[in-house]
Amino acid sequence: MNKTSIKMFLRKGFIFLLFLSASVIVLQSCYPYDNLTPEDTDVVITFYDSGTNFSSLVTYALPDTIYAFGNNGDIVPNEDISSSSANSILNSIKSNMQEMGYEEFSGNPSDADVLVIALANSSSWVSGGCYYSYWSYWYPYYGWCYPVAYTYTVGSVFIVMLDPAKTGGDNKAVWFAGCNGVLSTTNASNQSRINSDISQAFTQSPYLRGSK
Amino acid sequence: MKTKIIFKWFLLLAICGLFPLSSSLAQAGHWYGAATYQVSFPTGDTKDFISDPSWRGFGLDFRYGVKKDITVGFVTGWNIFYEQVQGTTQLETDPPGAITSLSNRYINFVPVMLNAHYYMGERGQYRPYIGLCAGGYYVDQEIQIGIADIINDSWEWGVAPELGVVIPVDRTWGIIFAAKYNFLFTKETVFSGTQLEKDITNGYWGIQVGVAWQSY
Repeated sequence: MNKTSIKMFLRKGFIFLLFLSASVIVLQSCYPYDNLTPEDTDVVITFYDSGTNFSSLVTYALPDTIYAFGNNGDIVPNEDISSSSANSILNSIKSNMQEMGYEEFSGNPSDADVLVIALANSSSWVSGGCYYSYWSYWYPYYGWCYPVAYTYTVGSVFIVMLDPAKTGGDNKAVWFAGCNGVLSTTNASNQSRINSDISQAFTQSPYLRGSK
Repeated sequence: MKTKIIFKWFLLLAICGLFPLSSSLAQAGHWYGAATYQVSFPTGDTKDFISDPSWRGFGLDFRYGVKKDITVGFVTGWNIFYEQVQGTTQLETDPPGAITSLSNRYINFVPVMLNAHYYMGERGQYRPYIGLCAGGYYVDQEIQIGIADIINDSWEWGVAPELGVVIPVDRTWGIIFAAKYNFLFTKETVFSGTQLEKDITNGYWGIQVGVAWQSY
């Protein structure tokens, strides 16, 4: 390889590097960026005990208290939740249980076929990130950004269905639902989402109906 | 729109790299280059995770003529798969369950492979070729659900048989079309320790169009 060939090859190598760098930047700028709304963060997850015959479960008891997980992981009454939010959660559970063919039991809760408990928790999160300006693209990949911090509050509602005949460590849940999402700034929106998510928890659990 | 921008960048920069060259690929003792825009179609487990095709991809190919009609070299590139999915997924866990959410799913493939190609046809004519790439892929797989962002990155081994044609435009360069099946045979456990843990074998078709040139 003579000098001219080497120079040409190096020149092309430089062009390749330029091309590669530009492609990385262009592809990165085209990387699908997700502008999530609070609603987009809603997650509804359910689990059930596959050994339970839900057809045999007809009556349910629902305490009129919303609970929360305490600092030690204990279940304690939630004293922070507003009465309107609490009523909204309880009413949504009742209407969905009725829809699934269950009857509310007004006697001693331990005599009902299942005991349903609702819990609500919220927690604040701080997350870091990078803000890229136009000028950032003069720098290599991830080479320059302005650090920013986000604070957001995540709300969770849990519904636990228990067999009241079992106590202590044997009191295994027969159904569990968790609804989770970033809270928006308006209570009306949050309550609407909670109701919608609770309904979704029942919708994705058709086995609850059994043969009822 | 963004795809067009990528393509324009691609053509502009690739054409800028075309200096006086000789016309035909696969002469012994010469280096060849190819820069391609790639559209990719997922298959198998990759398709189960993301079913949409990828419109974001490029490849860089360097080949050296070792014999008449035979080159060896290496290839790299970048393919981004993305899909937003809203729906319910059944969880085959113990206990069983289901999850409903909006999820943003990504897979980045960055192949780094050696290759060998055999060319048919004559100099100055269309030159169909077959080839085989073998090597590794850096794979970055990600799923965002709610506020959770689960990332799995790994190095996987694979092969990629390739079929293509170089169409000479003039003495200095040509257009290249190719189809390549990327098969990552390393079975990978993704999202370990979560409800989404799964053993997968990735694969995708890559359709490439670009420019090819030859050094002195």
